[in-house]
Amino acid sequence: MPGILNISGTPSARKKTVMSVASIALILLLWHAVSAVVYLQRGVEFPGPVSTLLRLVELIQGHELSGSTIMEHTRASIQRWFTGITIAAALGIGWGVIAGRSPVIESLASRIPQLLLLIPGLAWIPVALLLFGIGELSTIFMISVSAFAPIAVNTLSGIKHVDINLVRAAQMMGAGTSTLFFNVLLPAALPALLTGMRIGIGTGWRVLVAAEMIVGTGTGLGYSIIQARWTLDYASSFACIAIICLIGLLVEHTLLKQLEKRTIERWNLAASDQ
Amino acid sequence: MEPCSLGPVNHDRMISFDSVTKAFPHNGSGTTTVLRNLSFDVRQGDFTCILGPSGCGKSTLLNLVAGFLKPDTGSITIDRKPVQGPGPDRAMVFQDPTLFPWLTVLQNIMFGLRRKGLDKAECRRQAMHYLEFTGLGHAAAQYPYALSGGMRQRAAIARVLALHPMVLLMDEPFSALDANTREHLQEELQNIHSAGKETFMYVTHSVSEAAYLADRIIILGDRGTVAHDIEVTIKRPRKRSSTELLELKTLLRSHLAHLPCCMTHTTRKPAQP
Repeated sequence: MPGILNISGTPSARKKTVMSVASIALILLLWHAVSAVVYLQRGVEFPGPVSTLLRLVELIQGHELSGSTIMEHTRASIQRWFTGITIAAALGIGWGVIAGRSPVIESLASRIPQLLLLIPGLAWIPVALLLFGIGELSTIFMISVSAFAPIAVNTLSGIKHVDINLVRAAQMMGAGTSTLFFNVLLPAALPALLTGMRIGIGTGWRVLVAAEMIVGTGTGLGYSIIQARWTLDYASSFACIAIICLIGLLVEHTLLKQLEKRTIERWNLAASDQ
Repeated sequence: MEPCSLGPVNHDRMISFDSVTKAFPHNGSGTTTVLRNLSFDVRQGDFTCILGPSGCGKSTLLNLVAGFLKPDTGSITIDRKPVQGPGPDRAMVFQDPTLFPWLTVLQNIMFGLRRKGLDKAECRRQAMHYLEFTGLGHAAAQYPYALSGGMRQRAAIARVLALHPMVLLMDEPFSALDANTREHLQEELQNIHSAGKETFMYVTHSVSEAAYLADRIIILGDRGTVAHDIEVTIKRPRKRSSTELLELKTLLRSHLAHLPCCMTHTTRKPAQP
């Protein structure tokens, strides 16, 4: 039955481009349809793709939004995100490596990230407020605490599944503890570690926007969304949401994909990972 | 091959097992004794093959010499010094090549040399020397996944030779390769052995491999005891089809036929109340 199986395999690059353009067009079309229906049914101005884009252009040109330009808001959000993720990565990877190498610590502390995984990011708001009050530190705390768990859990599983013979080979060649950690365990656990980072970065981004809405301090995309709502400037809210999506996509497709290309794919770890 | 500068060696007792016992926990309820009260000595420079049915403790024996495992009782000494842990004086070639997939072939060979504190240029020079020696000079810049199974195992051999070990431990290194590549590598290994001073300890379940390579064949039997200890005096280079080799293989096969295959010995603890 040669006709049934698609033996040619992956679709051509051109076909892929066409498909992704079509899928974006579909999303925009649905969005437009929703905005039209809402307007007809409720008589409310629901910003569609066109008015959002126009507002976005205005904002990029320098229109102020709740006291700052959109660039300043974006920069503030990215800075908090980056700080929070850096703290989460340092703690999560450190925890994972140590727990992965020490059965005692693992059995003592393995429930910490498992528990943290169950707590939704926004549930940290009262904790953050009690610990740090309203402000920068609260936001960063919420990002770190939500991104820590997936990074820690994945790092631990990556370290635990490192081929024992790789460790033995390194020891046989005279590797000490720090060489073993940095030159063997970390690269060997990298696929799992990157998975954890990817989940952590995504979680952190979502929590950031939510945190800025509640414990924010006058800048940030989340703060802008909420502020624009009070002034009934829904187009600006939507423009901010669009920026959030774009940044998320950009990080996923450039940063993380590139990192994987340069490491896992180049070493072909995915294939020999079992 | 550069000589090992490790002082005078005790020629008769390069590797020495003294009443070594090793057991592993078994499903949490009891232990499996893999080696029981095992004693033997290996001469310096000998090529010793450890032969035996699967589960008889061959790999455990190598892991003990390498220092990856510790014996429950008894002691293992290398040149009269007790084994404390893994080290570059006893280098292992694993069944799977276990090269670091994130390093190029050259960097893999350099890994051990760097740990010896040599500077980068010297490491590179020595690593290239061993890659050329094992016929892998052209593949230095490649990542391990790009190599065939045979080439990876060559790289693993280059990696251990570069360490200048006193003892080379090999755990069925060619068992996953196709027959042609395997015979090729066996020949090269024989040449390496003849050219150098290293003591080889080679674990295999293949009768022909043991007969072709060994100066001495130890057949492990019940619970990791020495069932047979055979000196092989057939001249080198050996011919695979020679009558002497065929006779030796027949002898080994008949020895093995009297041993149970797939041995496991589990002592169950009484159930906890």
